Amino acid sequence: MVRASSSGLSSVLAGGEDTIVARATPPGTGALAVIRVSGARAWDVVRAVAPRWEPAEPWRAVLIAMDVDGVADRAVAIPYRQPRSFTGEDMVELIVHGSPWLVERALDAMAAAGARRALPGEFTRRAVANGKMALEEAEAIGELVRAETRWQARAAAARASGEGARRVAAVRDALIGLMASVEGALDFADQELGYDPASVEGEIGSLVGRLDAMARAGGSPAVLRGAVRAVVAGPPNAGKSSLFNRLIESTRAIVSPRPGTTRDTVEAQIALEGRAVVLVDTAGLGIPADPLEAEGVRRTAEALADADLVLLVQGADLPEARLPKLPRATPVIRVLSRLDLAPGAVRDGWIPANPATGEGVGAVREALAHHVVRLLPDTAGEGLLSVRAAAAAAKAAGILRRAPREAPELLAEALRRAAAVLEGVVAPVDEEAVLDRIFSTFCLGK
Amino acid sequence: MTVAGRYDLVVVGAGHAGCEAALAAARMGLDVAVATLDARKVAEMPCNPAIGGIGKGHLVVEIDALGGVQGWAADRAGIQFRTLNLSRGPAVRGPRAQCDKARYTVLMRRLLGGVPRIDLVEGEVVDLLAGDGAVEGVVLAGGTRIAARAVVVTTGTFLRGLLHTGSDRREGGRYGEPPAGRLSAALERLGLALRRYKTGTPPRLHRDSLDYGAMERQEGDPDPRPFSWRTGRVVNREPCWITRTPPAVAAVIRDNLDRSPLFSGVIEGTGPRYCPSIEDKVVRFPHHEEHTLFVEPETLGGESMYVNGLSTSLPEDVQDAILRRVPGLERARVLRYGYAVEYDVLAPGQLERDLAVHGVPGLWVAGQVVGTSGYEEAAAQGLVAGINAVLRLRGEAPWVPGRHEGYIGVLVDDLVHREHTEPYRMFTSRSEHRLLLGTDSARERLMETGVRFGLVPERVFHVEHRRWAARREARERLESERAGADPEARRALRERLGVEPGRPVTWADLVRRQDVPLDAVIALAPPLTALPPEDREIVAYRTRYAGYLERARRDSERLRRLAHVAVPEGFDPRGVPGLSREVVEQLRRYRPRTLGEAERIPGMTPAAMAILAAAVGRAGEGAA
Repeated sequence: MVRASSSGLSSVLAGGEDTIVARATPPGTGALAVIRVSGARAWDVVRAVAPRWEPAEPWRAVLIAMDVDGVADRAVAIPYRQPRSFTGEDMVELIVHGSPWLVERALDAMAAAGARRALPGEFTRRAVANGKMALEEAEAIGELVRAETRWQARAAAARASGEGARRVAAVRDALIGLMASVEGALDFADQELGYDPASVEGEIGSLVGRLDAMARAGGSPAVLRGAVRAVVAGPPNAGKSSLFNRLIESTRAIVSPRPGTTRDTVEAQIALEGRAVVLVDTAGLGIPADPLEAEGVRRTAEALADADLVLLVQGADLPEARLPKLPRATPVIRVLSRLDLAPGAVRDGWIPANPATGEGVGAVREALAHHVVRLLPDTAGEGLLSVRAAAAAAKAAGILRRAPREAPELLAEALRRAAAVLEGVVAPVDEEAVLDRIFSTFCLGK
Repeated sequence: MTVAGRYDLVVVGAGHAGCEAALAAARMGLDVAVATLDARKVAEMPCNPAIGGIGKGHLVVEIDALGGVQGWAADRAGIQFRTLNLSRGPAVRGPRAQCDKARYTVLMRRLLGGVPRIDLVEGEVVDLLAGDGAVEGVVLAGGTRIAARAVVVTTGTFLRGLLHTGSDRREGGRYGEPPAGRLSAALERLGLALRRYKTGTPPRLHRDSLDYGAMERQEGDPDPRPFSWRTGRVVNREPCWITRTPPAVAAVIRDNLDRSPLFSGVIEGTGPRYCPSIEDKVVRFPHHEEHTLFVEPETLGGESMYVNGLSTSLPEDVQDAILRRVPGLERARVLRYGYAVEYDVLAPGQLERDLAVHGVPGLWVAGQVVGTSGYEEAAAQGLVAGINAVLRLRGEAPWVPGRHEGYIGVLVDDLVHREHTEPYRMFTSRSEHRLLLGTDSARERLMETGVRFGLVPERVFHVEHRRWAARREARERLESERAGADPEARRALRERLGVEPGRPVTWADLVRRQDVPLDAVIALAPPLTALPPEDREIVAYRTRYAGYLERARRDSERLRRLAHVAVPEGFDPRGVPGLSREVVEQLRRYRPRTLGEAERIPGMTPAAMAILAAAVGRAGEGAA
């Protein structure tokens, strides 16, 4: 988003004090829409659409008379006085009738009065910049806004409470305390500031334990992703794509079937039991006949390596396909298809199905739902960290685990590095690239 | 003595900073006048009788590698040599020498006297000659003028110096010496902001009045090593003594706190937290029943003993009461009571990168007047200021030692770019490159620079250079040569290291093994035994922790690259999205010229740096 604005770079650079405005609710017609204004001139700017409004008391909702392009209407206005607002700046939230025309004209009027249309995620970005929230919380809010399933929304809400960020900050503070004792012993060897190696060792052990728990935070890649990746695999012509299509069709919440990075894998997201499942259709397993197919096989192997769950589809009349080695404990749902071509072929542990006709697909979906609930348990959202934060915790834990205890100056170095790694999580600012990614995925006005 | 002359440089003050500045400048070809209140008191040690320590010893070795003289003088005046952190890696080892103060002064005065280009001028500098905003010399009390093209002010604790013992308050720069008050006013007239700092010193006791049987004897290192490349060998001549203050001392102090100028509010200056007075310690660490004291000779065999750890400004009768309760000091005869001194220092934010004073061409400062503490910090600055005064007069680019080059770079960078609110002292933790800045590598880092300025003879550099090459070669042999190549060698490994190599191992493998005593490998490995003793350990350490050192080098490289990225003139951080308000305020205050400087600003985080780097990059594109 920052990069997108580089044409207007001078205005962005010049306007630390500028006031931004945006619609905070989704576009389209609704009963009500919320407009957010933030910046030093927020209260003034709103008077472009409510000329008679005299904002008196902050943090109190009042009914105001609006005049937008000659059309009179009423709205609820909530003025905020900095620093006690979402962004930490002066703000107004306007709850107006949800006419797209009304909202657009109101935004125009406020822009004419000196406000700037906000960039995606700019409100949250200001909140982070003003120290109103840690980056970790901002990410969670972004995820909350984007949440497509109930499970994701709950997990994001738990994270947005800042609990995860607080846990990271607590570990970092403990690290700084530990650094102080080691550094003190190094720089004041002639004083009485030695440290007890056993107690430092104990403290490192406990920090590693806390970091490991955070790295696992909720456990699996599925939890960190908020969705289960289910890969459909099997020999060519076993009916994989038919099963894939059936599972998509038979669930009403189709989000987006879209082609994968190669023509050989196709992904679609569905919802089961209030949880997101990304179905991945793959090219057939087997011996590749030409380079193009070889690429497809390679992609399949990659998809399988990332799978939380595998749907193995095997034709009853076909030679059995060997699955590549999967990460330990990856559950496999076995589906036996093409029973019409080999009548009576029943195998233990295999679900008989004929994806072409839809027969048996219900049983497959039930098995899938069962695993999805197990992979995304209800308790997993609590204290959950973002993928980035969990990765930082894992990295910090690794650094501490490997820190050479016999040389305090190297131990001190390791403590510094571990703290710096965690710094990126709790500091009010982080690498530009990370910020760009986080904030550009926010919907406008958040 | 009245000398109304014309010099290239006038150095105001002949302490540790002044001596290094004058000697460097004169050896680089300038005619130098050193103005001092008392020509007998050159390079005094008004506080502890020692040079070096952790961080400080690093500075001394770096000064020496650059051609400065402090290390040489400490070697010659040294009476006991101890390396602190000897059991730890070379990065944090701090060499320290107890010195004979009188001899130190004699050595330094002789050194100054031996340089024809240096004139020692006795008198108080009361004003600076300024024409067109540039400094053109100094004025002595009595009106004598000394014209100069540059001036280095190294006045230590003398600016508006105020000595405190209890409620007794006297003007003075040090015990028994007058202050220099009028120069403060002159600096203020030039528009400079001053602030008050405070430091203190303990009582001095008569050697014959102490009970050594009641104290613990502290010896020097069995194998003492000198600071300087100029020194062949040093020897320990006298021990120090350790005793402790019993709880009764804390009680005495608590009962008399209202009589301490520190606590009654009489002293306004800020003192160092790392070197607190005994009354500070008692108040701040009430759970400590005892405080360790080191009793150190001030001169070899001389009568005065220094009580390290008992710095105080309590009244004399309270000091007596304290001493009566300390084992070994019960019957001590006090030669001089402890006192605190308050003095003016330059407020931070007024220095150029070469220690020149911002906005006053021709004026440099160095030493305690800049807000530091310690003889070593002072000497390091004196050297930097002296060299840079020469370079400026020659019209050459300034020499700004980098943070990655040594503690001397850390010191200068911190003083120029960071806020300080108490006297600044060097610690190894101040460096982000600590692993690379051990005393073992100081000459490798800095000696070439000393040669370039003509302060280190080339032949010395060549000798050192061969030594480094031998170290590198030993390192390569460790990595390539097999240990236990024949049955006899395998027997030696088994018997002396307890190692039975199942498969071929190199000596480097053994050096890195945690279960093999390093000392034993060092004694056995031919690539190491071929080296002089002090290099064996250095090479072994560099081999054992090669991974850490390599990472540190990569980090250092990255930071160095940052130092080359210029922040555009007039860059306004206020509009950069993602920077916190605190960071924006700090950037506006310190106006960094490069990203390297920005990084040293207090409150900067790695993340803020990344954002700033991106913004500076974009601003650069916009300008292009």
